[in-house]
Amino acid sequence: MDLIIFFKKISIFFTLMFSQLINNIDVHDYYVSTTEVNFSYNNHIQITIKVFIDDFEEMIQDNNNNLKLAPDSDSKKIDQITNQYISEKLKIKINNSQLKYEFIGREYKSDILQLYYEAVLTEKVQVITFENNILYDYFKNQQNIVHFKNDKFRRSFLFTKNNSKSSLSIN
Amino acid sequence: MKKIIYVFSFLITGSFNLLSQETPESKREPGHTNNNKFKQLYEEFSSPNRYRTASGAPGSDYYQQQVDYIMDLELDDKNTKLYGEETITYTNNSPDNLDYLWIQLDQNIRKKDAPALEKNGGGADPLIPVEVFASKYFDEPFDGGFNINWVKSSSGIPLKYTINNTMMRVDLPSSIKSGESYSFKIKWWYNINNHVTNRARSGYEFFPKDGNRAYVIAQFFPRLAVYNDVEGWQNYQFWGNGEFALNFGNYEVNLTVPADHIVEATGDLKNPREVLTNQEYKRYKQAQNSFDKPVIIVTEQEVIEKESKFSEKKKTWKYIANNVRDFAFASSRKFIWDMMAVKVGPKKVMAVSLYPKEGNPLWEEYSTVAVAQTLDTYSKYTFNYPYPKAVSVHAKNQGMEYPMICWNYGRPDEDGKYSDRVKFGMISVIIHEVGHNYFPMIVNSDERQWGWMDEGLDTFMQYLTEQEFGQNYKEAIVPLEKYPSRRGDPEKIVPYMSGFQKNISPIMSNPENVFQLGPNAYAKPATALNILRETVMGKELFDHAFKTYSKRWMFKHPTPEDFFRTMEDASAVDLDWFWRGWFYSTDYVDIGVKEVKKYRISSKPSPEVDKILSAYGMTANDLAPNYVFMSSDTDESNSDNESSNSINNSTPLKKYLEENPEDYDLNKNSLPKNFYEIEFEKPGGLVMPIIVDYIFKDGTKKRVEYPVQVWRKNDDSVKKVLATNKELVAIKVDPDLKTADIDISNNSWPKEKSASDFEKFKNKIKG
Repeated sequence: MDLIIFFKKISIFFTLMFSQLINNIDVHDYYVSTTEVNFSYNNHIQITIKVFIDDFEEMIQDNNNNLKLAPDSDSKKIDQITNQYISEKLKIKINNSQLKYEFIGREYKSDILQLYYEAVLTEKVQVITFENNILYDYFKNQQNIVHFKNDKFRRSFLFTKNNSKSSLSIN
Repeated sequence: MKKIIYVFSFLITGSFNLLSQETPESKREPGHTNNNKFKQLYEEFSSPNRYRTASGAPGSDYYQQQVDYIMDLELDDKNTKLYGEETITYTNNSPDNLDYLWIQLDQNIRKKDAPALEKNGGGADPLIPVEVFASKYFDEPFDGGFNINWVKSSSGIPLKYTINNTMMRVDLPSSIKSGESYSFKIKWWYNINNHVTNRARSGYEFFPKDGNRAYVIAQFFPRLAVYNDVEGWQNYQFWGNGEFALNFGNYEVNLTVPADHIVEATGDLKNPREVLTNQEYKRYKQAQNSFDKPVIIVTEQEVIEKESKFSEKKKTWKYIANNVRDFAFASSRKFIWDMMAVKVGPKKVMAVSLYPKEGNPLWEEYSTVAVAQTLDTYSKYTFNYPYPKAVSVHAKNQGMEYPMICWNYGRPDEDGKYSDRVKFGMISVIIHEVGHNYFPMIVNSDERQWGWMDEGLDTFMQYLTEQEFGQNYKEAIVPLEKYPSRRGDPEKIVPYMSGFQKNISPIMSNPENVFQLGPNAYAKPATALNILRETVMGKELFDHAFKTYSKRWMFKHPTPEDFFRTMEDASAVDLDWFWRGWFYSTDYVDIGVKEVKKYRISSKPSPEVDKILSAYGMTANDLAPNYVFMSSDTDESNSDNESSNSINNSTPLKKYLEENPEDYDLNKNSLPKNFYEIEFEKPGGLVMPIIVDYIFKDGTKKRVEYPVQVWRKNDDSVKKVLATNKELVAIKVDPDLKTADIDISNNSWPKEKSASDFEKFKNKIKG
């Protein structure tokens, strides 16, 4: 629980995305993704995942060595592998049931890949549970940050390989 | 009357403390020390002295040691070993007598039992790719590190030495007195590592298709540690992140390699006639006068023919380098070689590239021109490049700098195709690493202690150079309008500075102990300098001060304080608040608009004024008739006619204006009638100038920049009044995103909600 930090004031730009490529450093790569989970209007949940293109490409090429990102060599195949992977690695539970989210699309911003998913809430949310295992299977020091936001408050979680799950009560 | 003035002074300062103190408080507040954001840095800085002055320049007693090397090296390509014998001449310019010398053995970080291998924590991996697992748990560790054959005096007497990890102490038969020189010799060898599989700044890349290796060799010889007035001996161990602290000196190096290798190294090649073929030599001479485009000395076709031959013969390349802090070289039979001449000030400098065919077509097209652009831009902002050449060598995954030579990544796919990401990554890394010639190769800061002093300054200069490259080579960046710099723009540092505090260190930290060296030592200081230049100091003052620092410390060893002090000394801009906030803390910028109130000139005192006066048993009638009353728009007791010229509401004001017709024209419409009180809030810890756009109903806009000093006496919020004859409809703080404000949701009045990336994307695909 010590990783849950409550911020009195968190910006909408609160995305911990860093330049991962470090010049001149022996073994010093930095791996991080951020996922913003926003409860918006009409019981919709908007999910935005930001990950470094280079890091994500490792995973894509591990599944299919011929694929390349930005520009994409085969968008359909990349979408397919991406969705398969994300649905396995990012699990969001509302109360006791697994949230099914739908792929909206993806885009590149500089060296970052942004993935968009959306879901509709069907019940009143009391507890939301995040389990984020994105890219731990490729980078030992991968860190995944989740920012949760509804109209009342925001909360941020920092997940690592050995601490990849956290719950939040909403009243 | 005295009393009235007394009361009035409270109104002016806006402080009601005295009034509230009339009711006794239950508990007296404790005192505090000076924690003002503008407090000068006397406690953080060491006292100036005769070595380093308060102005930030080298002092009258400034000294630095000189270390000269003569080396014979042999590269054994078959067995991947490097052998060396070196003669070191150490000149003690310090006022102290030295009983021993410390020598850096950087290769020892790759010894089987090096503590650096265990420096990080981290548990078991529940899920791990098979090759990573195998190499982690089943492979024998690489058998690296120096093997020291002997250490001898110049007359051949063995010297006693003690190795502590990456440092070796050589005990001297008698101390080296101040002003004296001492020569001694070391013989050594080591196993060269594969720098691709075993990530390192130096080593070889193996090409399985043709069985060749490309060597990029550095930190390869025992090098003297720095002794100076700040650290004594800088013998902080090499743990991998903190780079190097090195002495200036002259080098004479004879480098023996397989006869079919092409070599580049720090220094002037003294025997091109001996090591090059006739044709290569002819092109080499031709390149010396080719100012418009690079000349290819060894072509791709010639390399392909050589790749399968593996000559058994040897050749010795001879180099001389003066006034350099290090020596590095690259060697392979796979190297294509091109170079062109660049005019830098009054001098000619060779811009050189060395790359295996795997780097083409990218390298042939962009490497040498990127080197040339770097020499041009950096020289403009610092000093003319003083060395005879600058070489960019292509090595997979590398980005590492040495005097006159550096290794750079950026490789197309096997079919020769490459993305913009690869292209711009390559151009950027070349600019960055060639730029390191200025910081720290010439402005020779201590990288072991301060990563940011070279990385931050270099990344800042890299940003300026990339932007100039984009202007000069428009066809290289099409269809973009400006070069896509990854670091430098203020908004790009926002994610880092707004991140989890437990993962952030101040810039003024040792590189071994920071969490993410990239944003900490590269991006944040580079952005800070960019903000200093464009927003705080202005380009003219900044550029002069930055150039002064570069020139003062050219071929010397500066500390952070020398930089901080010089930037103020040469500009008359107090920057202690900036260094304290941006370099000594992890605070961030967040400034916004809290509240806006409209005031008008009124005929009667507002209830607020009445209240204060009544606390002193007075009414408005007790005041002399020379005060202007102002009341807020929301003040219901204000019965003045709103449509009238509000100056008419105040008889004393009107009278005053009429009595001074030469100063004021009462009938002129330009006299302000609307008075807006704007309260700026500052949830962020960093103080910054407040840049504001006031936007009026008639569509006009007024840009105001309040100096950072407005935060001197209240760190949380500050009120300003805008007097205007126009109607204010909107306010934008930091409208051009120049301050790295981490939360712009409070930057607008009235509040604006900006669409998220998600919403923008969804709208885009819908449309």
